Parts: sequence; structure tokens; C-alpha cells
Amino acid sequence: MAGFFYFFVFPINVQAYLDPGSGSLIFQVLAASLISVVYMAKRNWSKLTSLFRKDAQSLSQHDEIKTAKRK
Amino acid sequence: MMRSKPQNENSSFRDPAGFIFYRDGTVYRQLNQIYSANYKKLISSGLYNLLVKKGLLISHRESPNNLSPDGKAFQIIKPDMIPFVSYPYEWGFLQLQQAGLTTLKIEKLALEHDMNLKDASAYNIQFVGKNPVFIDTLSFETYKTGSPWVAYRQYCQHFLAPLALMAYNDLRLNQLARPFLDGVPLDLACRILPVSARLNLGLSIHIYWQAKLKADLQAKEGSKTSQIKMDKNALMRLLDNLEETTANLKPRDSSTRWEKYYTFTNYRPTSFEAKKQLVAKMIKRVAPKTVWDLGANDGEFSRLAAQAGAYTISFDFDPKAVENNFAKLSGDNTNLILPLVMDLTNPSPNLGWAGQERMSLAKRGGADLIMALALIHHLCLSNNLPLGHVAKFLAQLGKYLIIEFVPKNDSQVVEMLSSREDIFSEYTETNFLSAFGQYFKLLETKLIPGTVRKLYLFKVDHA
Repeated sequence: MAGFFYFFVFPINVQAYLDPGSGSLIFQVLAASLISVVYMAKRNWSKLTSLFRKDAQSLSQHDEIKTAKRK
Repeated sequence: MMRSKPQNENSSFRDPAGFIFYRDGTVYRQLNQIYSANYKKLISSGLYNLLVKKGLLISHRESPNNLSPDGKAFQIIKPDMIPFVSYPYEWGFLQLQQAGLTTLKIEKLALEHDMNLKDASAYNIQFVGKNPVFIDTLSFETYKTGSPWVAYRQYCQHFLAPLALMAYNDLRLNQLARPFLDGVPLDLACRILPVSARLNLGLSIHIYWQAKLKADLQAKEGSKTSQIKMDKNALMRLLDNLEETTANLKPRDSSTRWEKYYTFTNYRPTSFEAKKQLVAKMIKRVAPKTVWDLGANDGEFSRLAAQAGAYTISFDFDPKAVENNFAKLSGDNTNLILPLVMDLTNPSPNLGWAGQERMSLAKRGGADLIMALALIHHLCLSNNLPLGHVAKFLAQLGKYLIIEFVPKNDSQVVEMLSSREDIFSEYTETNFLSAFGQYFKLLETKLIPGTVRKLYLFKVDHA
């Protein structure tokens, strides 16, 4: 309970003597969002391209195994 | 019991959480009351033990509180000693890169323990041989859920921008850390970096966009700092990106004339081997604990000192030579060599507030043995330094000296003087011995077989 009050009563960076630099806190949030977007896009792109790289034979083998497991 | 007066460390004053001081030559760190909760958490969370075990953080011993200079300590700690203090403007590219990656590694491990680094200054890192070690035990604080990293801009200025400048422009730009003690301002980095650097996504975000949007975002940020929230996962991804961007930087392949020095010097292989053996014997005779190898190039002779068990600083003014030396250390298990960039004709001065925060080279001096091999002709002839000046300077740096005199009839000197007027009538072996005799006692002379060069072993003698 005391910890809860501590968070609200005291300013957020009571011991951080460092000046983070004008604007760089907001910028960080923006930068992190952009990086996340790029990261997700890269992941989805490689997922997408990997689907096309599987040849037909292995695809049908994969389907056989799946149907065998369901029985 | 009378104890000597404590002395506060001149560079340790910005952080209200504590400061470094000395008593009887031993270094201590005072942790003030304000730091008590964070220190307890650093220990209890297991973060301290983990970082020390991985060799990332300097270890310390808790000491009695009555050692405190002002009686206000929550805890006094005694950190392990660093054999030789060095600064970012003395490091090569690889060293600065390793220092940056170490900082990020520590920040990520800290977050996993619900803690956080409150600054990311390059001066928080010291090198012990080839290993970067974080020395600021006061830098850890409890992670406040949702807060962005307060040290982000500092990381970009101290590490990312200078590394980018060295990679895209020139290795010599490590020297920008001298005038810019809080790292290279991002707007300045933008102006110097070539346009091709903007093709690097990480650099364009963390350097270009951060610099360009500064004015706009400053207005928006205002007093709402405490309300800016950032998810922990987003912060981790930001750190990952900083890590990737830092690690992928690589200097362009540009060779300097010093790089191929040992391949194209005028030593026959047998003479070179003989020189190594003669130097090794002299080192053995002195049995030094510390050695400064001046003009060390890629550290060929520093390795002889390290093999004899001495902690060796390998100085060279060519950053590429320092890179080559550091790169070769991956195969070295003595960990007794520290390569540094240093121009002996313009060595690191006193810097910072009141000229007292960062020590000059001379202030850090006092090696048991100085080596000045294949160096004196570059100082006296290329740099027009009188023999007496060089002798006086070297006598201030250490107790013993191994120096190679390169006379005028040496083929390298003949080539050096071929395109300029020979005004160096004073540069003779007789004058060399007389100049050095003012400050040193001669112990041994050895001719390097197959050359006209001689090795001299001197001991400082102020009589």
C-alpha cells in the first residue's frame, strides 16, 4: 500500500540527476513504435515468403500427416 | 588513531546518490541515504551478483561507515581497483563499440530484474585489458513501470554518434570526445555524417530524426514528462535496435601507412627476431609490474612485456594500429594489454570542470618501464623535437627506459630526410647519450644485428 502512494506522491525520476534532453522522452516512444512496426512487418514478410518457398510435395505430405493425426 | 584526510574525487559530483573519495590511496564510494532503497534492491534482486559473475560490473566490498568524509553515508563500499584509467577519446573504434554494447547488455539485464540504468555515459566504463567493465555502482535504480529510458539520448551521444562518425567518416573522429565531454551533439553528427548514413534505419531514427524533431517535441513535452508512458516491451525492442545498430557499424576499409609498417620496414626477419630477443632480455632484467609501450603500433613488443607478466599500456597515435592491436587480443589469454590512442606530441590534457574531471596522461603516469622502440627518429626528425626535450619528457613517465636509437644512416631515416632540408646536425648518437645522461643512468647497450640501430636500457637518475 505504501509503495502505491510512493508512486503517486513523488515525481517519477526523483533520483535521475541526468537531464534526458528536450523532447527525447516523447521521441523515444515514437521511435519505439516505428521500430515495432518495422519489426512486425519484417516478421510477417518472412512468414509470407516462407509459405511460397515450400514445394508442392512437402505440402501434400504435411496434409497427410495432419489428416492422420486427426483420426 | 590518526587517519589522513579524505580526498574527494574531482570528477564525482553530479549524482546526489553518492560520490567517490580516497583515503590513504584507497578508493571508496559513498552511497547516500537517498540511494539506500535502490542499493538494497540491486543486491536483493540478484542483479549485482549476476553482473559481477558475467564480468560486466565492478565488484566491491562493503566497508565501515566511519570512513565517510561527511558522516552522511548510508553505506561505504570499496570497489576493485582499475589498473589504469582511460577515457573514450583514447579508445579505438572496437573498444568504444564494446563499451556501448556492454552498457546496453547491462540495461537489458537490469530491466529483467525490475531495475534500470539512470545514465549511459561512456565514462561509466573502464577497460581492464581488453574487457570493458561498468564501474558506476550508483547508476542502478528501480524501474518505474511505463517510464521511457532517461539515458537514451546520452547513449546516442556517447556511443552511437561517435561510432557512426568513425565508421562513415574517419577513425580519427574519436577525438571529438575531447571537446565534447557529454558525447557528440546529435545535430553536429548530422552535419558531418555523409548522406549514405541515412540509409541505415537505426542511424536515421536515433541520430537524424532525434536531432531534427528536437525543437518540435521539446515544446510538446514541457512539464508533462511524468505522464509520458512507454510499455516495457517497447523499451526492450528499442534497446534491441540500439544494440543491433551499434553492433553492425564497421569502419570502411582504409589503410594508413602505419598499418603495413612491420611488413615494409627495413628489418630483415632475422634482425627483427634478434631485436625481440634483446628486448625480452632487457624486460626480464627490469622485471616490471607495469609497462608503457610508446609508439607500440600493433603491439608486437607489448606482447613481450605481457608475457613477462607486466600490465602493459600499448600507446600509438594511429587509430588503425590500435584497432589491429585490439583485434589481435581476442587470441590473447593474459589480458595484460590495453591498447590506447595517444599522440605523444599532444597527449591527453586535463579536462572538464575546472580542468579537473579527466586526468592528463602525465597525472596517470608512473610505469615501472617505458619502451620507446623505433620512435625517437619520428619525434626528433618528423616533429622537430630536440633530444633534450624528449629525454626530459620520458624521464617523467617511468623508472626504467628501453629506447632504440635510429641514426641518420639508417635507410628509413635517409628516406625520411630525402624530401626535406637536413637541419638535424645535432641528431647524433653522442648527443643522444649526452642528452639522456642528464636524466638517466645507462645500464646496457646492444646493437641489433644486421642493422645500424642500437637498444639502450636506462634507469632514471635525477642526481
